Amino acid sequence: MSTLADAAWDLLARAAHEAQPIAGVAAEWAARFDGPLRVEVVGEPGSGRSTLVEALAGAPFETVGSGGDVRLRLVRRPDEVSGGDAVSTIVVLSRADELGGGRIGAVDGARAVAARHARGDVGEHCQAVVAVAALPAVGGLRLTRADATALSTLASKPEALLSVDRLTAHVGPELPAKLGVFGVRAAVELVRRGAAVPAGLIQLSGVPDLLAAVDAHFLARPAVLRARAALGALLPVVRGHPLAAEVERVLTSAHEPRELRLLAELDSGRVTFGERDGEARHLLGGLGTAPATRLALSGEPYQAYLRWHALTESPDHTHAQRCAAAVVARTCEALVAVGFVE
Amino acid sequence: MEAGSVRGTGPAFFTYPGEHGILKRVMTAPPWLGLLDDTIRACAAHQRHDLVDRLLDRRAGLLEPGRRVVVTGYPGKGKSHLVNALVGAEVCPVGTDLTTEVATVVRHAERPTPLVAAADSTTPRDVGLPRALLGAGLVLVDSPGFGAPGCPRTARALAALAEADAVLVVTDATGELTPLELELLTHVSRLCPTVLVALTKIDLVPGWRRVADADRGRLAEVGVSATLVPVSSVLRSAAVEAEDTELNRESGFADLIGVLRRDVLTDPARVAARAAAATSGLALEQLITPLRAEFDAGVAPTDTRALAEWQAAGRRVERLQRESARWQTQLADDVADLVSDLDFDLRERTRRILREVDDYFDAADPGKVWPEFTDWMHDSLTSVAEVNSGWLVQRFEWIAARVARKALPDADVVGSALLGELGARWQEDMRRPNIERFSPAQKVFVGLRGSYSGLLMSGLATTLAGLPLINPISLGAGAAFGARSVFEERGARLKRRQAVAKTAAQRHVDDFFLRYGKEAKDATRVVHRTLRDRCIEVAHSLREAAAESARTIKTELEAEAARRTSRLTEVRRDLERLLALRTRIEAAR
Ligand SMILES: Nc1nc2c(ncn2[C@@H]2O[C@H](COP(=O)(O)OP(=O)(O)O)[C@@H](O)[C@H]2O)c(=O)[nH]1
Ligand SMILES: Nc1nc2c(ncn2[C@@H]2O[C@H](COP(=O)(O)OP(=O)(O)O)[C@@H](O)[C@H]2O)c(=O)[nH]1
Ligand SMILES: [Mg+2]
Ligand SMILES: [Mg+2]
Repeated sequence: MSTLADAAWDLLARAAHEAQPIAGVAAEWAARFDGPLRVEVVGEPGSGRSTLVEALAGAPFETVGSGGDVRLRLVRRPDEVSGGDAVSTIVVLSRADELGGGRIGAVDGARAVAARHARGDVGEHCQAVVAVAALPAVGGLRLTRADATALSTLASKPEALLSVDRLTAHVGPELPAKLGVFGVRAAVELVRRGAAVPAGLIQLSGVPDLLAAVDAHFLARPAVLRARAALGALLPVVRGHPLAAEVERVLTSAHEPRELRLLAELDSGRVTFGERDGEARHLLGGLGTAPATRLALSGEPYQAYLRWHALTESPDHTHAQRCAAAVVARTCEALVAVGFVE
Repeated sequence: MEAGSVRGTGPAFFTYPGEHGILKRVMTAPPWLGLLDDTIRACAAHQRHDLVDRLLDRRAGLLEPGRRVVVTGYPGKGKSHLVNALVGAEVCPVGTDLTTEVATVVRHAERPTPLVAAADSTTPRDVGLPRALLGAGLVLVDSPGFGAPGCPRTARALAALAEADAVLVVTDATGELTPLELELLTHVSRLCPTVLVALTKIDLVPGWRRVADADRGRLAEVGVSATLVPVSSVLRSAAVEAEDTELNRESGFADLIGVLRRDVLTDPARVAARAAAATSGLALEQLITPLRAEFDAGVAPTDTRALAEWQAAGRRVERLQRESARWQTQLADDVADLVSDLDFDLRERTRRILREVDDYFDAADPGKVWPEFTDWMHDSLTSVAEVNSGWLVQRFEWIAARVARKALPDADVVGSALLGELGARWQEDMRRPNIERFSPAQKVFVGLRGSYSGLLMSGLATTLAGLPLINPISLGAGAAFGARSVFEERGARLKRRQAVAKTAAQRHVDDFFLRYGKEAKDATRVVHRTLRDRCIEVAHSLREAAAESARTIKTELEAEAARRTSRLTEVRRDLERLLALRTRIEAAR
């Protein structure tokens, strides 16, 4: 259990004894405290929320429409993103096959766009940007025998793959509706290569990328994110109440969210310490939060602290790097002082 | 060219570069040119040089041979791909991300111009291609997609739109027209009435026919009359490459080109006329709106505060006039009351003295007590005069305060000050032989008091001087005679002496009454007159000042009203002219 989670649990327990609506909100969030992480899927109508939720079925978290601990924010174009709580957000560049015009390489192109924006402005508002074409992933799992036949027919008719109208003319409307034009093209390609279609489509769809991102950024430390969400939900109802100051203090002083943020920035390449990135990841708990794991590449924590602290004043580093080094130094400090990070 | 001469409405107005070429055209010019020039003149007359500049650019653009179709819309909808597909060449950068930063203008050229990258992030790129469609008079402009309001890319997108003769708005089939896109369409159709919509990516979206229908419905809802053409740039490019007419048909581009020919190339003059009318109309609207606001405001009543001030000043003059008659009567009444009260008081007090004298001399022997009696009489009359004149002073102070309140309502003149001023004049004008100098009001009466005592002394002295009877007779001698006869004889003589003393006292008091009373009345009269004159004077100047201020305010009001009226007439004339021009423009659309 993390220290932020402990503090949040304490505050929730105290808030549960207050008047309504504070008690109600506190009880509601306390009840969810030990359940699976709840991932909210948000976006404009038509952004592909339903399809994505279907693609995420069976994942080790719960997807919800609102009031989640963290969120997947679906956008059709990266320039739609502005604002938002970075630590609890992953931006999904949805319907990614369409972004590139449905060409075979469309999702790869979208992936490149996603990576570029993660390093740019969009990355300021989220932990990761992931391109996903959920429709082919979902459709691939629903292919029938007839669909399989249709796909092998299409393998010998490249002119039929030119447009949705031509596809419909050749194999009827179901298959293109199920996979999308990109999905059909990709599936035909898989058939040609003799590969398994559903698995191949899932691989191409970017859904595994999204699962990996959720895993890295949300599921590694769910308690921290849940505690933050609970306190975030409590904050508006305790406004003006003596508890408000404490809730705010715990929220702003917590160090673990800063570690998560910096890990994401190292991942996207927004920040780098060059060859020291590995040590930073370890220290920040990116490979496990046990003190021994954190210190695996660093050795003596006090020496590590001195090294990272020196970076915060180094003129050879950018402002962003010095700020990031300060976060790592703070982690080291905690490891020196109490043997774990709070 | 000099600003003054160009901006003016005079004949030198159109002396800008290229005039001669344009003038030649003017001979065969379409009617819209006249309207546009009238609008430019109107903008110059209203000092809207920003509009003049814009309209002059527009005028030059419209007089160029080709008709400019600007391809616009939100990013990623396929604008650049559509331009490429139309001309069958990769002239505009196409991409998954934001790719179009600057506009690309594609014109006809006998030989393709070499493609160069954008010189900087603001200047449009120019491309020439040998294409029949372009040769027929079409200029295609690929523009940057709209972004956040006010961002540089949006500004460049708007700049491209400002030069459009016709607009091709691009949306794609992956979703229905969004509220933002509809807003853009409404804006575009006001800016430039020849609008087409291309629905791209129909090769990709299974339900594109449904999207097309929904979009047409929305266009109708917002009142934009634009033909929507579903297209696939991908299919068109493939068709051009493979020279596949069937595929070209499927791409929808045959339709799109057909609509472009129909709406733009068949009657380019009409397209230019409509664009000119829309531009002129928008510019005129910018002139009309403030004028109309001014005109509407002008009909409202004038400055209410000044009006209220004027009315207040008038009321003040009236009140001062009314009060002046009133307070004079009141002053006269007050003074008459004062005189009669004064008289009564004096009479009462002297009568009381005489009664005491009577009682006194019923017993006392004047021969023995005369000196003491003279002292007593002097003291008593002095006190009467003091009390009476003190009273007079008080009453006058009260009267002065009252009249000041009435006569000089808002002037900061208190009664005592008025009397003070009065004293100063008194001092100069009013000297009486036996009256001391008068200075401030009180002194009037102090003097009065001083004068009476001398008069009293001399009077009483003369009265008793020639009276032998008053020779004192020894009481002791009287007593020595003893017996009644002596007593009686003595009693008879005593009685006579007492009677003489009483008469002398009586005469003395009467004399005092008359002389003091006259002095007091004279003083009262003078004070009254001076008080009245002074008040009249101050009230008059107050009235004059009030009347003057009322006159000034009125003159200002009248001048302002005259100014407003003449400005309103001017505004109305301008408005009528602009509205007439607008009617001509509407007719040309
Ligand atoms: N080509 C393509 N279409 C998609 C994808 N995801 C969703 N769609 C389509 O987009 C439309 C809206 O999807 P939906 O999941 O209902 O969006 P929601 O309104 O956000 O729930 C549907 O027509 C889907 O078939 C995708 O990954 N690729
Ligand atoms: N399938 C398909 N893709 C298109 C079509 N038009 C454009 N695209 C793709 O949509 C993306 C954006 O196109 P682009 O022309 O750059 O859009 P712009 O930002 O509006 O200029 C590119 O990946 C194009 O390949 C089309 O008609 N069909
Ligand atoms: Mg849905
Ligand atoms: Mg473009």
